[in-house]
Amino acid sequence: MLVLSPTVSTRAEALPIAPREPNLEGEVWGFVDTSKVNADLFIEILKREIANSYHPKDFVVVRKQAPGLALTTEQIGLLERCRFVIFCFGD
Amino acid sequence: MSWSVQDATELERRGIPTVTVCSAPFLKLGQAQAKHARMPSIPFVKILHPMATAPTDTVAEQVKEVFAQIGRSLKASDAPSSAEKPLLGEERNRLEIKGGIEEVNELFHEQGWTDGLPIIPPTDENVAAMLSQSPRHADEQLGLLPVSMHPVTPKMLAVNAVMAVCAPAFFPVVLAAVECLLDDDLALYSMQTATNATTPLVIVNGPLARTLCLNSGQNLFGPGNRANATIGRAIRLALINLGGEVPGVTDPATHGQPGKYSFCIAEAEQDSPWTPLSVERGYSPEQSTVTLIGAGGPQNIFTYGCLNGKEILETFVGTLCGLGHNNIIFPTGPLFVIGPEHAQTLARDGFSKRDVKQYLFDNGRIPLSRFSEGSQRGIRERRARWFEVVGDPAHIGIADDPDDILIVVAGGMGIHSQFLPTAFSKNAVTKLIREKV
Repeated sequence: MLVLSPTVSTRAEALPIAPREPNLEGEVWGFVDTSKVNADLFIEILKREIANSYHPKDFVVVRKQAPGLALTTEQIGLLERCRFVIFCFGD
Repeated sequence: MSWSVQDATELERRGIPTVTVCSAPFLKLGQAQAKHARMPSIPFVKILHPMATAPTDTVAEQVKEVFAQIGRSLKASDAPSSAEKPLLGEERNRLEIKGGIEEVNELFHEQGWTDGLPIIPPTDENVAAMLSQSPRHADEQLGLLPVSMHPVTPKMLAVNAVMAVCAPAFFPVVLAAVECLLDDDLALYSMQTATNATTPLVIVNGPLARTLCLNSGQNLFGPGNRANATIGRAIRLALINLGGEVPGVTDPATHGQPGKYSFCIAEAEQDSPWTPLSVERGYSPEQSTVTLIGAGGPQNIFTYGCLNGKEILETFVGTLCGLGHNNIIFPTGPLFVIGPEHAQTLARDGFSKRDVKQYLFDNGRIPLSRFSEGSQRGIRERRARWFEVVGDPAHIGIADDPDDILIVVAGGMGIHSQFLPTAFSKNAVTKLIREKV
């Protein structure tokens, strides 16, 4: 029996991730607090560890109103100041 | 994971290295989302689950455990090479299967292309018959369907509608419902990738609902009507096969709900004393529409002993004022499917549809003091508009505005109505059903 596939058959080239630097010292670190319970606590503890190890210039934290919402243009603008961004967390 | 991966890919595109921390059960979801976003190399760091109830010491231990890995994910040395550009997806339009319907079903089940129930094998002939009722060209791109964000065409929908045992006459409804799925206001991506049981409910209004004999009466959420059952099922199969929904991977729902098999009803306009939903939403009574909203399973409201409209509404309010339903956290506005007997009693006692909404809005308020401290904090954040606009700081209401409450009259005889908590959708989405001329 000849049947049609119910799935989408597309071929696409994978997109590259952003280039990484060899050194994490002295940069601005960004965090996205997804507003999951304890994400804020996780970030506060993580910031202390980063401060001890990498002597960052600054920290930027944006908090989502709900995990299911996309970052706002304003939040993306704030995060563009950062060299790295850590999403905390999916749970 | 909801939007974290989408946001991370956006930042990576802008040249900002990211790492997404997620607890173990959600790692596969995140990786699948990254693949669908065409950025499979995006890094993740896995932590223990659950973090939401973990004490401070456990959270601190987790940070220490993954700290080095977070650093490695952001550094050049250990990150995957950005020069790698693997091809995603594969070409597979037609399949030659030895045997008949049983063999096709076995293969489709194995591939994860079904909802677990038998399907009709989609052939060139029955797909062409389905498309004969399409008002849009078979290969027209309708949009990108979450979570896979693959382009969807009427032809691909027709394949899934055939599998769902849809009659070709139902296809314009399926097509309009998928147009609703693609509308940003429905927030399908968030709905599909959440642990919440919410899923799109299809509500059909207008003359076509009657022509197609959609059930708007007795047992309308239950079995027995081909149009309700198969239109809803076609939507689900499209979400599985075109939207990339994989239970336990891209669909991480804690429990899911029976409406994920099929969730399609019609409004009993002929039994309603009020304006139909579609007319409230700007369409004429002669136009046929579908309205979609993210909805939880229906909760029965049994108004035993209530003698008048006010007593019925007080019972509705009592149902709304339980803790833990979605409309406490989500500002979407609840949906009521009011039984015709209730609607007639309410109308008899002078309540218009707008009066019912206003009553539920005014009285459907829960003292914040009933919630835990953590819940109060979450409610204040996620329902910020309530506190800004309504000005009742001691309570949380079930909607930010009376007009956010949706009312549909449907069901058979009996003193029952249904409360469906809603979530995710910014608004219900209504589209015209276009028939082939």
